[in-house]
Amino acid sequence: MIDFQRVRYSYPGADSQAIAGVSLCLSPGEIVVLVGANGSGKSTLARMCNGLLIPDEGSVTVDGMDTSDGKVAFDIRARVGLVLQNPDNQIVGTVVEEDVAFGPENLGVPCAELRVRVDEALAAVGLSGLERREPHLLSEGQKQRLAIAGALAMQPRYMVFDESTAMLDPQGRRDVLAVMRKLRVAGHGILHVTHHLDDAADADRVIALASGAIAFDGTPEELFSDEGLLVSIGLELPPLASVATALRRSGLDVPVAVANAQSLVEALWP
Amino acid sequence: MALTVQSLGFTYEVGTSIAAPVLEEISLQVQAGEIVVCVGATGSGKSTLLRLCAGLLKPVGGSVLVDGSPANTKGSVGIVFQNPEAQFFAETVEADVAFGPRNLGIADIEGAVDDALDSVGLDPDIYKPRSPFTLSGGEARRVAIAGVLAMRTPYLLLDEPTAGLDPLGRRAVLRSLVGLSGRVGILVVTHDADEFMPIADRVFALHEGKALFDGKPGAMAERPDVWEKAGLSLPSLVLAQHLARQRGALIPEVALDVEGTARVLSAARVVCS
Repeated sequence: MIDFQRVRYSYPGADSQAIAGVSLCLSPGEIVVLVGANGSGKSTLARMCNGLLIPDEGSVTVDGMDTSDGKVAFDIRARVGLVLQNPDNQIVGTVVEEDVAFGPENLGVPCAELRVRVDEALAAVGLSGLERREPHLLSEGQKQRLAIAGALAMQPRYMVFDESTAMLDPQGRRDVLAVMRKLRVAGHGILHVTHHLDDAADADRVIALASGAIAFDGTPEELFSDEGLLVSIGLELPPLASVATALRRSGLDVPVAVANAQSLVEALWP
Repeated sequence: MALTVQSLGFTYEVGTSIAAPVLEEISLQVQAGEIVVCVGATGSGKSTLLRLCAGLLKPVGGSVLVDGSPANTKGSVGIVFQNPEAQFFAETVEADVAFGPRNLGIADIEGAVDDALDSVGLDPDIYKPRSPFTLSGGEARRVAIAGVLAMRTPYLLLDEPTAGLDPLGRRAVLRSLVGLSGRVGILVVTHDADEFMPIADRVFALHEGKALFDGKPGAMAERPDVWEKAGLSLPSLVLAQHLARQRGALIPEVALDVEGTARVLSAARVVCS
């Protein structure tokens, strides 16, 4: 479990706290979506999961290991994979398989096992067959999946995605979300930082951050039905959910959280 | 007056074994003052098209003319790349926005900076002294756009201008673009059609480097086949209206925004019952 206990953090020289007293946990086998406006502290929180940032107060532990304990930093990073918004920032290899091998190779993983890890990681993200491709010739969605494979090859128990779908087209986004669901089934704990509220629709839990504090922690349905809260923390309902809200106001019987166009139309024309 | 793309073709790595045409026979016009939105899946050639329009790449066939002159003429076309705020380098917003016009030798730099910040809805007096590195995502994106506008380019090319922004930031950028239309010809490439359809004068769809559609957003909304072929999902609102039609709802014209869609669906529902 990744466990945040009353965590506070300020960037050097900043007047206000980026994280102002957050307690939360992420267990293996669940997808937790973390939403919030720009500047709400989402990325800071993501970077605290593997000790890239250390709390000023409170603690972050990963399976009992404290991120402020320098001696376990490598163990923690091997356990928590981080995928960033822009895959170009974390692709280092000249060909796909080399990039995926980079992490475990640096841990001294023997060659035969390295091959297995690389093949498994590429299969998990649907990039098998592109082992010899140069990363810059991949589409953006493929690059993001390559970045995920690079993290997976480290065999982490937890994966933190920081806006990893923000630059992708709808298909690329669906592909990456499908990879997350697959990882959940395989027992990984997933923290997905996003401001696309529709990404939250099939999360186990949604946490909303505002000004560094938790403004909401619950199911996607509960969050979608509280438009006042969403607006107050600088988020807005996805377009379809807004239409549903407008229709409900005009007296039509449509559900609170519409997951997709199909369910909205079925509610109107059963 | 227009940015005119004529039978444009482009191939990366010409003459090598990995050469493959990225754009073929593309013709497109952005009239002065209008907003044209180019949609296509990743890899369809959108960003390449933008770079050709800016004169950053040389066409392999065809041409790009800006008000009759070749696209690389200094200062005729401004381009805002993805994540443009990554290019900030000056200590203040004022110095950062002034960099372009100063290099072009524009006489009234201060006026250019003030106008540019005004155009994107940022009060020059408040923002000029600020560090560009302490801005919110939406503010930073708009300052980056202002940095290009300050060069007083009559055409503006934007690559995914709302990507990575939260809802407030996205709305602010969209409002800025609407405010610029009429004065600046705008070509936006995006895969977030939901957001841009309501503000577009025209939509241009690309698929594997070829033109699939060029017309009014409303007409594009009536063509699910085009979206499917382009590898794009229909915007959720448009999809809901098509699904409603399949269930017998009477929808004369597909709406593009939230208010319109709610109106259309509730009217159709009342007629049914």
